[in-house]
Amino acid sequence: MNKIDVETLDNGLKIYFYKDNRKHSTYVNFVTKFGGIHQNFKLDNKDYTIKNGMAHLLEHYICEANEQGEFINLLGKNHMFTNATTSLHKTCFYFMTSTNLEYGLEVLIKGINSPIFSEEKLKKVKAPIYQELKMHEDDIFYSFNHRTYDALFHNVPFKDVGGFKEEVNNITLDEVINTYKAFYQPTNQMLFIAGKFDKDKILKLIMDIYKDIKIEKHNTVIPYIDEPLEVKKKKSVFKSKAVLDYASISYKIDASSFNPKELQMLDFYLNGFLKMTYSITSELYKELVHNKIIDTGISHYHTLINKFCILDIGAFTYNADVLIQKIHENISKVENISLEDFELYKKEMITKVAIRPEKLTSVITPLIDNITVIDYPQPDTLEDMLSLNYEEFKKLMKKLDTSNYTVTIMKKGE
Amino acid sequence: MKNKIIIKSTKKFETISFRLVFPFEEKEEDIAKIRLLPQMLSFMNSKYPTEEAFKKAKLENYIVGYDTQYAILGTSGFIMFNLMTVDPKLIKDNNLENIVAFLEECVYHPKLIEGGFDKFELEREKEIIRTNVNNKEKYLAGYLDYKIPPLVDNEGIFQRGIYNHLEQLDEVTPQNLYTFYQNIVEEASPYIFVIGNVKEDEITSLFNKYFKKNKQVKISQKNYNCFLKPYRKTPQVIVEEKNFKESAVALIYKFKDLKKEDKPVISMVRKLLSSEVSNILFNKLRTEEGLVYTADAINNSRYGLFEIIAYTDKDKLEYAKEKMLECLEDLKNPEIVTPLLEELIKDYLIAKKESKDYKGYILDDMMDEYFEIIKPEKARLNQIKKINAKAIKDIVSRMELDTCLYVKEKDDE
Repeated sequence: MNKIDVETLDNGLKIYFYKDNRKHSTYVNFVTKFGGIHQNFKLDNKDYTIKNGMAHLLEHYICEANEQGEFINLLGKNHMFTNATTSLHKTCFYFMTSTNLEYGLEVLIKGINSPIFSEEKLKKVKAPIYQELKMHEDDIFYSFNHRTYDALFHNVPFKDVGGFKEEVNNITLDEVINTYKAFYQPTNQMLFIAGKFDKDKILKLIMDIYKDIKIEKHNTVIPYIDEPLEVKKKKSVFKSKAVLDYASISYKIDASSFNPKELQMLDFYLNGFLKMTYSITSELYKELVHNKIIDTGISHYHTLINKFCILDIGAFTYNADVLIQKIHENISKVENISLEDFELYKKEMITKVAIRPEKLTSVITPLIDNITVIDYPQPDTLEDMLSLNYEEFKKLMKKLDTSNYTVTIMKKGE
Repeated sequence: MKNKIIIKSTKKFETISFRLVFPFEEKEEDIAKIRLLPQMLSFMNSKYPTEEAFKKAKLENYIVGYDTQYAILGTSGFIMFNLMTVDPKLIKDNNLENIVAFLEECVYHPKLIEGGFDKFELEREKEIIRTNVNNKEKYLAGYLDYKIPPLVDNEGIFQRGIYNHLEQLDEVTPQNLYTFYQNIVEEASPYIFVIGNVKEDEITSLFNKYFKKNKQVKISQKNYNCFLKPYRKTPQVIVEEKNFKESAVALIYKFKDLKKEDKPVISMVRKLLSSEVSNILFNKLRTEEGLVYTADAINNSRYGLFEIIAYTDKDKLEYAKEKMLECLEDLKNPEIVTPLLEELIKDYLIAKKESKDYKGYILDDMMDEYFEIIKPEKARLNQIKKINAKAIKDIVSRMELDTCLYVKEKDDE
């Protein structure tokens, strides 16, 4: 993989340049470290709490109501594939172009830095969001995820990135403005540029664009939320319209003792452990299929919220209690994983990282996640994968305390 | 008989992709078998008879991706074996012979028990299909996918999906599925497509060493299109109330006197309505009116069908329908259409250039051009450049509304 250069502007914005002249296009992603989990902040020494759905609403607002115009439309008309997304940890505005990089950068940067705040625009932005939320309500996992987060946390208010209609409806213009001021600061943002471009020319362009932008400086602090290790509720059961029961066990693991580099390696080791223990090639999976507990695969997912690693493992099932019992029995059985299996996993990771340069987004997306989720400002390298070590893997997995968990069961509908 | 191998040698990518294609003639009685067969060939074979052994073999051979798929175009079908591996130069290990040998095992040596596929695995795949079909009905877009074909298809062609033929699953046995496989794959030679950092003579020699069947199936490209003809005197209007959280209105059109040559024009109509460059639907229904989160135009021109769907509140459905019809009227206005067409043609050229960064698109084009599913690139470009406002007006004027379907959310009790 080619080297990634980083430049920092005087205003604090970090720009990551990844050049690949084999490509016809350039991929640009403007990232703000503000996502669904950020719901408490201190702006210029005043405390604020915001509702679920604010980050997503602000993403829509900035796209649709800024001085440049509705920029997804503007850039789309200029032959650029454009979109915006909000997730737990970040909001991204991105485009891909082979013809209009300078124009795209100007519209994007100026647009993000010039929202027009008014009650009328807020009302207009909310309307399609309500439709989007209604669409999500039909997703059987929509309710599932809320209930899981509700059961996991006492004091972390996060339930859903998109929020709920009533909450979104109650978001006021002042709240939007204050949230924007707090998080949409260059010191809290990054710009990624990957593919075919002239770095010096583009850097100068970006600096010139920012010369024309007036940015109010604010002091933002994200307060530490005192969240206990124990989960709030051990079990939630509810009815849905799914055709089969779905059950998951979500572990709340204290990750506060890991530094960012360790979290990066933990991510790979944890991923490996989950694959080797629960994937379709594992003994557990074969047992569960053979005994007609499941038909399809076991899903797993992990992320960092507050100082906790949240690890979620679940599947559609004919017998939720047995499934949960079996998953939990195996969560600490790292000794079941042989050196041979570990070396195969390592080979898989070496291969995966080696081929990332084939797609620009495959290089940039993991780097964005490293920075926004675990505060590790480096890409994953081949050397990292070559350094994956069986003994270190076992040691790290044994260090994880999996005694705190909640079970969520979604019963099938009639 | 030598294999038919089409190779694009390029150093632009970190991986090498292989696609082996077996064409066949699709029949209504085989719908479930077509759906099940790729699943029986994806996860194991006779040499690696468990998912675990199969996965290990993939990892050992630096196989980054492997799957089996089917595609149906009109009444022509294709079973495809797709494999992606790392460029040997990256891993400093030329394992191409292992890769071709692995492919041969996957294609010609499925896991068999007593003259048929593994019964346990077959029943499991059937359950997975039933669950997926049932889950699909639980959200509105999935429900529409399932609901619309039988409403509009009076010839039994468009609705030839598993959603409308679930009863066939019970009729598939390990033995009759194996017979189906034998007819399509076992005695046939595949059409082989390769893209990546490879030498033509090396690849050709390896495939000729391992793939030695004598029969190559020819297919008729006349079967790619099965145009449904308009037959109603007036459109049917259907109103349903369902337990969804949102509502939708779907307008489904057929075309008078549809010919193959009309298809690029219909594709352009779709782009005028819902591409990023043009987006008439989005602009009218969302940007101007705030009516919808999403509206879409879907081109099923292979069957002579065109759908426009808007998702909104149930008390706004009629108004959304009016606006959708206005969008279609706008397409008859050259003042609106001409400048958009110019941009769409530019967009086509830009997209063509950018697609060269994606091996998947190149591989799809290689296959589609070879089987004459699409014309060669130059011919396609010439077709597109000839599309003008008059052609758009003409095709829109030939659109006949077959069905207007309203699906309304039920009131909370």
